[in-house]
Amino acid sequence: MRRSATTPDDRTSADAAGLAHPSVLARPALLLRRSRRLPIAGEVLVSAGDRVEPGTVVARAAAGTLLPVNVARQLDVDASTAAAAVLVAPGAVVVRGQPLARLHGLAGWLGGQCRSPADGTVREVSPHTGQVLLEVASVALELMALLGGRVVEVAEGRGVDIVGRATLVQGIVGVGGEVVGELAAAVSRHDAVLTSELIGPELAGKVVLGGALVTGSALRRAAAVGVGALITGGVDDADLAELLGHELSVAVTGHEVIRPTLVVTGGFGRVPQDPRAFAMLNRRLGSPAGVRAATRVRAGAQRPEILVSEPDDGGCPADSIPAVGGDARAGRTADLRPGQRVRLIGATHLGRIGVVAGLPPGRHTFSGGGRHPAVEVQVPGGRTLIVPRANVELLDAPGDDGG
Amino acid sequence: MNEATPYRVLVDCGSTTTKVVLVGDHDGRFGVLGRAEAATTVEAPHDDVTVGLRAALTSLAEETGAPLLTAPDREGDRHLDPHQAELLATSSAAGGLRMAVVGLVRAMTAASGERAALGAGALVSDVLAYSDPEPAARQIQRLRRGEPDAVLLCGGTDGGATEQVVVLAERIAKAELRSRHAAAEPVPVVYAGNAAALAAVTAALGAVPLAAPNVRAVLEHEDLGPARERIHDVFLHHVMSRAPGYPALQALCAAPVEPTPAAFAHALELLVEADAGEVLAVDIGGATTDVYSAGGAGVVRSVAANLGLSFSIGHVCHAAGWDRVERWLTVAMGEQDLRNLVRNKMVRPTTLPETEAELQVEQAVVREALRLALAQHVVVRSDLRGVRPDGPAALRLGRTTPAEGIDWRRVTMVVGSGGPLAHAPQRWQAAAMLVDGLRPRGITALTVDASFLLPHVGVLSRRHRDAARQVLFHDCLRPLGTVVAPLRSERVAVGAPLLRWELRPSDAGETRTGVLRRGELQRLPLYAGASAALHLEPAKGVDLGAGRGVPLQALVGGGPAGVLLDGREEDLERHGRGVPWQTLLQRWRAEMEPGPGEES
Repeated sequence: MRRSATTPDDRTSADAAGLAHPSVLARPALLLRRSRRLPIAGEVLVSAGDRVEPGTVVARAAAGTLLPVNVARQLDVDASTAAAAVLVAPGAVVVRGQPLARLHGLAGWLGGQCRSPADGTVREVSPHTGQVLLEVASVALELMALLGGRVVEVAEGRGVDIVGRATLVQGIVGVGGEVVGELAAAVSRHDAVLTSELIGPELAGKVVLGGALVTGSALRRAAAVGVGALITGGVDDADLAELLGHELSVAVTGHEVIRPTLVVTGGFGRVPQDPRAFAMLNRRLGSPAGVRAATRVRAGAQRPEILVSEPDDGGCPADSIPAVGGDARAGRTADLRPGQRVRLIGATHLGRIGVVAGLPPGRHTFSGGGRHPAVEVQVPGGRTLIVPRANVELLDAPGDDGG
Repeated sequence: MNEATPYRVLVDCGSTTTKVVLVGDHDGRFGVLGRAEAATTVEAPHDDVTVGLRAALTSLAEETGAPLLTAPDREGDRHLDPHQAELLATSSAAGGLRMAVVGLVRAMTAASGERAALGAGALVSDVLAYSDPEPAARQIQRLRRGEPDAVLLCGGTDGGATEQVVVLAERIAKAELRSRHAAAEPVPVVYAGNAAALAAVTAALGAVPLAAPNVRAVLEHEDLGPARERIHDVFLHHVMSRAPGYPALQALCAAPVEPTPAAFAHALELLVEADAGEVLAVDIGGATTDVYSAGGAGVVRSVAANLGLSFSIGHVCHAAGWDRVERWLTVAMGEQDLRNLVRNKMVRPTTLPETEAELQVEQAVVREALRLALAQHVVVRSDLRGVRPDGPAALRLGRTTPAEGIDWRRVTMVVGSGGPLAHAPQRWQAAAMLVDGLRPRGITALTVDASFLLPHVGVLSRRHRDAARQVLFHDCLRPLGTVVAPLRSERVAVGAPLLRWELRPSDAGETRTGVLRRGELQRLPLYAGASAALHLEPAKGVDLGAGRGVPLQALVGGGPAGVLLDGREEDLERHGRGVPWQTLLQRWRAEMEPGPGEES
């Protein structure tokens, strides 16, 4: 399992479309283009045309803690005098105790020194304030490809664009950093509950496919074993809060330093996964999977996703890439029509999957008193449920059942 | 634009929906002739807001039959006919203007900067101060995480502190903020601090900031107007002009596109002009709750970030406490189910409540969001820190009295706006949420913007004030009723009489009398459009707004909530120590709900 320590910063038309319109994508062998960018300037390690694997580090940067040293205050002089007394220049490597600035007094009187409080690198010397900005405790940020394929564009110092073919499954919310690991299953059914007994040391470092719910004890067990990422249909909010160490107040995620990374495909509570998406992932067990859990539920929307790359993209040239966004944006409620496969996302029937049976005109009065445009959805067993049109999401996932 | 166009088309480009309203001659007055909406198209694949606008205009023309559009052009597109309709627009698309405020001292220049940004209609992503006990690195990280569209840097009175302001400028530069609308472009900085430090700040930023006169040139004097104008310029030129299609939208408009909150504030100014009292308005959105106090001195706006009913519904519950939200429910629901329900709404913000339980949860969260947002609003309205109580300087904001809390004696109307209020299945529920959440005192009319027209009215008022006034009172605001609650009643024991009342309807209906006791809630039916003379005789020690024990007479309006006499504690948490809370809740709900056959 590889972990990428950067803040993910790529968006695709599919991402934006997947939230702006209520649809969820699950597709096998989809040709994708992904932009991978560092959050700060760094170094790109691959070139255009290179073949990369999901775990390939395509760029890296050094991020350190910035420590300002107030030379003026330490020497008890004004800013301009302090600036003139500084001995080091940007880029200089200093050690703890090393003089950063020195005042020359009169025969040893009224002089003074300002020493570095830590080991680090001088990033800046302010001519206005006399402050020296030190970068200490530098941490290497590594940006993984997440998608296996070819590098088609290099953004100098920032990252690359990659084109490749992969099974793509979108989630609804995720937490944790980016992970690449072998895809494995801990359950055999899309509606199973993942309990702690089903998680063993053989799952360490892997991207683990769960069912309808992952329990709190299973999350703790997964953390102890070292599971890389968990994919689940549902999770209880209290258990997620325990994993995070705090409540999830707003769905803007991806910065959390937790283990394992979690991608939720259904919602909160016990929510069976889409059986088609579950089957798609099951067919790719053993393959390297890239997981990006970052979620942003607002303008500029972003959903978490699981990418299971195909071993070979067949050398597909960049300019033959279709507009993925066109397919992913098929999920607008305005486009609801009989025969479409949908998931019910209102609280009452959350997670139930059915087929649009009808779109009655006008507004329907629901039991809570609200009057909304409605949709009739036929669910397994033959029953027809009437729900607000806003309470369904399209499932864009081809299957063998003719849907 | 042709002043003689028969129609005005008012556009609001929201984050997800572009709404258009057609106004024109309506039975001899200016009124709403039709409405339509379409998805906002600022993102891929359209990347042009005018695409969604054209779709909405086409729907509007079809629905109303008004000849708004030209004949199809060579591409088959139809456009707004400038000889038929004048276009005015507001926008909160792309999230509006996100602004980070950086100041020297949190309670002084940083607070002034925040007021300036909010007053300009910005969403304040973060407030940082030099005085905060926080490492520079963390502040730089916060700046980056906030992803602001612009930064407002304040600090130092004119001729005062320089070094600290320059340090702040250096931190802003270090954050390397890039525009989310134009990736390679640095985020603009508005500098409204120590004028003497401008050159040093410019050097530290490595770029020329947009300078505005100091918001606190002297500590005792706050001047926010010029900074607000600069912020508005930034909104127009660095956000709106970058958002896909906005230059084309602006070219179609008869006036500059306004940020939606600023237009909302203009509409409230119309209300104040007509009512000669103060208006408190709340706008509950998906991510934030805006609170506006509008009076003779202008409009003060606060934005309770992360107190909204969809994207940030989880934060409301966390901030209020899950137990407080659960207390509002009369249906049995365990905390785990409640938390999962709320979180599902957070990640799927467009879903609607179907059952009574789901509706109650939503309305419970509204109550808590209103309570918390009003508390934040009070802080924003508070006296300027740093002003000596005996200081000679006047407060430029126009307030001459300290505003500790809200002065309910001066507030004559509460206006509710936003989906959960406007679309409550029964209007009395909207009144209940406002009364339970805001706890108004004195005699206060309750209204709701049932059709999301306030921003449209506001932008219309900038060019056609009289027309806007007509739309405001005839098409926009819906009366909910009136609430009466004592400002002070601490000397009255629970269960003892608070006041005697007499209600004499203006239509010569039956006069009713009664007594309100402390802890009670009473509803007097009075339908919308009706009015009545209300005579109140408070018990000794009870102040209804005219002084302790002083009788009061008022002309009150009706609505689905009727006239609510609210003798409950101002802090409802104080109930439930004798009679169980659930019993009281059921009792209040039953009292507020109109009877069979009554308007609801």
